[in-house]
Amino acid sequence: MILGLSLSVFIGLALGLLGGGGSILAVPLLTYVLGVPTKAAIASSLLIVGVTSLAALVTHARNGLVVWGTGLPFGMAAMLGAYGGGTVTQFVPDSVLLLLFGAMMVSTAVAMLRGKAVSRTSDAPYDAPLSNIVLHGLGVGALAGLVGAGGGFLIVPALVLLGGMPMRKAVATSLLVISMQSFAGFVGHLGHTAFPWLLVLPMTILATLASVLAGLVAKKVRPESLRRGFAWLVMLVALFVVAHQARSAFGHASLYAIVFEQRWPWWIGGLAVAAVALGLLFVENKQLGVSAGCGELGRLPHSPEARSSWRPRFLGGIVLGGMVAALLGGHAPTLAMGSLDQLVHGTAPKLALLFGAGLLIGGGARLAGGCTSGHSIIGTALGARASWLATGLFMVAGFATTRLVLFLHGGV
Amino acid sequence: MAKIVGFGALFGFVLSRAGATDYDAIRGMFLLRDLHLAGVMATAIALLAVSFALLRRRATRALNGQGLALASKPMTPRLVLGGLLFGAGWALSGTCPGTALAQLGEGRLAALATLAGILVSATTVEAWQSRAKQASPPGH
Repeated sequence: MILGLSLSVFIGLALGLLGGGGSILAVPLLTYVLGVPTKAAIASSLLIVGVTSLAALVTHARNGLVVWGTGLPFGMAAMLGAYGGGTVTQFVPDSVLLLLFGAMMVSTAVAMLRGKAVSRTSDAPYDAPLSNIVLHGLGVGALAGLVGAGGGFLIVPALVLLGGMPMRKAVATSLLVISMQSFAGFVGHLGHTAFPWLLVLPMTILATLASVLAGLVAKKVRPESLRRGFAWLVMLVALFVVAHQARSAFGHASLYAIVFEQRWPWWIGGLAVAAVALGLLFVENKQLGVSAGCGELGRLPHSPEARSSWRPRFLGGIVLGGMVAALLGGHAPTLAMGSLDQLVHGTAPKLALLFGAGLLIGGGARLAGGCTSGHSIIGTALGARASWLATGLFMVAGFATTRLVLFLHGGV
Repeated sequence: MAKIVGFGALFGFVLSRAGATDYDAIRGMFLLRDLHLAGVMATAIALLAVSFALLRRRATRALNGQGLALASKPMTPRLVLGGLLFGAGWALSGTCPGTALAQLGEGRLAALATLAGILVSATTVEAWQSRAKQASPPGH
């Protein structure tokens, strides 16, 4: 409950800064974190997002960023569409709704990441013909009402990618459209959905406060970073939704269990590691290695060289991959660490031990010039003497340390 | 650059699915009770050794048209100390830098402590090494 409330701050931040992403965050938050049924969550998100974007709109309008001439007709059309979508939604099964939602998010994120070139023409006037504006508005609204997304993540790209509106103005104008169609969609749901009011009201208040705050700082953020942040946020939530759906749809099939739940046989694991290393080499011409990136990660705040390097991105990808594996395999977050929990008692000593071991790993890898990936897999395969020596030393020290721990602990 | 993130994600996914993020798998390998991960590494090394030899003989080029960026790491005296320290840390934590990142993604939150240690010491040692390199003339 407290978790859910504090997370609703992000809804407000996303709306105020990015002009969208409110319901993308609100729907999974309500369903997965707070356990609200899908349709009630969709309806609640419309109210939360409607109120929140109205508040953010006021801040942006004061800064003169709202393009009313485009926003109003777009919004009118979107309201119509959203009402239609909201009415139809009761005839569509939940799983289809969520899958639709996920697919839409992925395609939007990809479009936003690729849209770099288009939006650089930032000062071109937005002069799409009225009929186009109305048509886009209808389509965006219908989708939004159907899946309960206020649609900012469709409106902002529509304004930026199709019309060439600058990012900041698109964000502001999208807020106008979102608040109009959210209220319309909400009304469409009113007749046939029960609301968890006790949850919705405090969430709305928190998100609204956060959005006003975000609207105030929005002027200082680079539009380029805005768009990237927007795209990655959407992508992450999409992964989460799709993984959950895939699991509930195919979780009972044996093939699914073999691929996503049981540990792969060693030879499949080795094959896959080799395939990834070769793919990275051929497609990006990079030699697989993790530990050099760890040093760059530490220098990230004050080194432009590290910021433009491929390694920190690769490392971020590894985290993402682990997340996908856990989501599809159905593993919840945990503090447990296998049988280490029997060797060390208590959370604080365990974390201290891991931190100390991390110190040995990081420093050792940099002194040795590589770690398990760089030395023991790639280096050895290249036939480098240094890598064979390093791998031998890793192993010897590993054996000795494990034996020593066993001895000190009296044989576990 | 999105492709790099994609390859990273593939690598993390594979590490996780192959069981390399499992503390007990690493411990099992060092106790010689569960040679699963040794098998994973040996398979990968064998396949890559053959692939690298073929790619080098044919002088295959990467997609960007340049020669493949494959470089052997140099032999240095400090490699011995580094290798021993790394091995000790590997056995204690049951993880190496790549798998620690994947563990974090999996939601094994204790990996945050391991990663914090790795980042602190990797950054410190690198800073120290680059200062030492500036102080003395280049060359190994």
